[in-house]
Amino acid sequence: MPKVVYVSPAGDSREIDVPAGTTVMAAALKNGIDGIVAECGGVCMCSTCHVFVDEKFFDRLPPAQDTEEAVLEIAAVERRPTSRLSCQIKVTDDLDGLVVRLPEKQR
Amino acid sequence: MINYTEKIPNNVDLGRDRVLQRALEHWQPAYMGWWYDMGPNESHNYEVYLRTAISVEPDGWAQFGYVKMPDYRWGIFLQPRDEKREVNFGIHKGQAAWQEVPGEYRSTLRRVIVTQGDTEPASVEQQRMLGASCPSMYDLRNIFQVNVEEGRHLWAMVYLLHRYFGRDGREEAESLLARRSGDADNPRILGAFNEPTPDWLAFYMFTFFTDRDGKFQLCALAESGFDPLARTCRFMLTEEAHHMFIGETGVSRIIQRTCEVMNEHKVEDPSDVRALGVIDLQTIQRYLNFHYSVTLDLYGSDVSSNAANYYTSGLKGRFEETKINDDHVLSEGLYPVFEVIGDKIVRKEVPALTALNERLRDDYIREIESGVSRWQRVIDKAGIPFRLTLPHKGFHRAIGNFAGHFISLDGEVLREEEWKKQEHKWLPDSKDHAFVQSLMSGRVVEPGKFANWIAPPARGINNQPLNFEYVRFN
Repeated sequence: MPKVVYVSPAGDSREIDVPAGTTVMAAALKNGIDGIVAECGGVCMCSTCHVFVDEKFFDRLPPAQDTEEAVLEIAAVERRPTSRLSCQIKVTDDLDGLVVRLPEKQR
Repeated sequence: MINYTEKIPNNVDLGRDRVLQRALEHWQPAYMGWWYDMGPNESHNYEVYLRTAISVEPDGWAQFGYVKMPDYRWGIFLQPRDEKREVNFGIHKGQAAWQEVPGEYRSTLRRVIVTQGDTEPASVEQQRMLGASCPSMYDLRNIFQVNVEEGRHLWAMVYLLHRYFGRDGREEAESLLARRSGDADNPRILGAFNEPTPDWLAFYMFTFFTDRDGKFQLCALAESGFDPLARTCRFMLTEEAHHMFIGETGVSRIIQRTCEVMNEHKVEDPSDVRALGVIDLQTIQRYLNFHYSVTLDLYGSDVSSNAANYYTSGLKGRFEETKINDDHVLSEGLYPVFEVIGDKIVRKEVPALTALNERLRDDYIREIESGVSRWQRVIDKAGIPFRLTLPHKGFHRAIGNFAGHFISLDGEVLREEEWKKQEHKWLPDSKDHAFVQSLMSGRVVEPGKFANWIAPPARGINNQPLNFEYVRFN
């Protein structure tokens, strides 16, 4: 099963086994990762599941669609080049070891 | 005979609940009558590219397609039940969450649900004329999305009233359709929901500030020990997130357009800015001051025995209750509130249990600060030396410890005549409203076109292009 590593703003990391096909957001909620709020329930309508994807993995993700790009504009912590919404990242076997860093705040 | 289980997407087993079906058979026509009378003006024949929730799962949650709003499928959805969920605060902490209304809290719970439910149709009524002055087809679609979802939120509260409160609940559900925003004889329950929403700047401010109050109230109710209320509110929150997106980006786009015009024409004076057909930043600040202060009142008195009772009874929790590290009973602990003594604002520690309204208000303010700082980024990026600020918490308040006092924007206690002299600098006056409305004398509905006073959004809805036909007028 692929693993996803969530890194808190303080630098603490937690590695979670995530079934392929699950979103990075859903896995975070299920495993009680602080720092992913997912106010809209995972339909790309808010920006409270914002993450910074590790550069090694960023180019391996399918590109963000227009709606995700629009919503990232209102992220509580200003977006960076590797910003994504974790509700839009589906974990695959190819992404095993994916590292996402959580912003200091989501709202 | 209407098949309500087909017409009303739901996950409450409506098809097998004859009592609930009968109640809805009576209420649904009355709701449609209200929608035709008080829903968006002249919109009933439009086909609108709307999102409809048909299940609570992410892939069924948001289905997009054209729909005439009277045919919108106002569904009834509760977040899936967690069999192990407990009452998480108050004197019943640790008991299994209630699946039926506890007899001793029946009237209190009903009042809480009615107060929340009353805000939903109220905002539709407040906004019903704005379609005639929309700045684009994209924005028109967005206000309609907000309106139908507020309608669905009314359905959510009415479901609870019908399902759990018998005849009293049915009568309250009818009253929710009888009150009218701003009506002198039968107004909506809360003050902010009787204020007009006369223009699009006010609409965006409302969805940013006042819908966010809705979010915090829903968050507090989503902690309720009465499980159906908690699960209903949890799902409503997902829709509220999009409303706040519309508000935040709407104001942001107005600011962006103003900044573009100021830089292009090298003007700063508000009258020069206005002459170019955009809204000066000073007017935007005054609208902000108004909507923020009116919304702060919605949280109620700073010190409140009602709020304490709701909490102790397990009916309404704090924002993110289960993430707070304390005893969840609040038998001890203090919380700061402010009161006016003479010409000073004095901080005072009161029992935390009595200050729950103030705590929720403070949670809200923190989130508002974050949003306003994002608007400020737009101004900063344009290189314009203007700062948007939030007024002092006591400014222009009608409820709580600051009511009856005259507090300046920066928290100075003034005499009434001093305050009144400066009111026009702090709050929008009739000239401001007339100016803003003069910019919105007609609607812009050619696909891909936007009124001069607002920038286009960065992107369209559901990955559609900006020139997509979001509304078909037929």
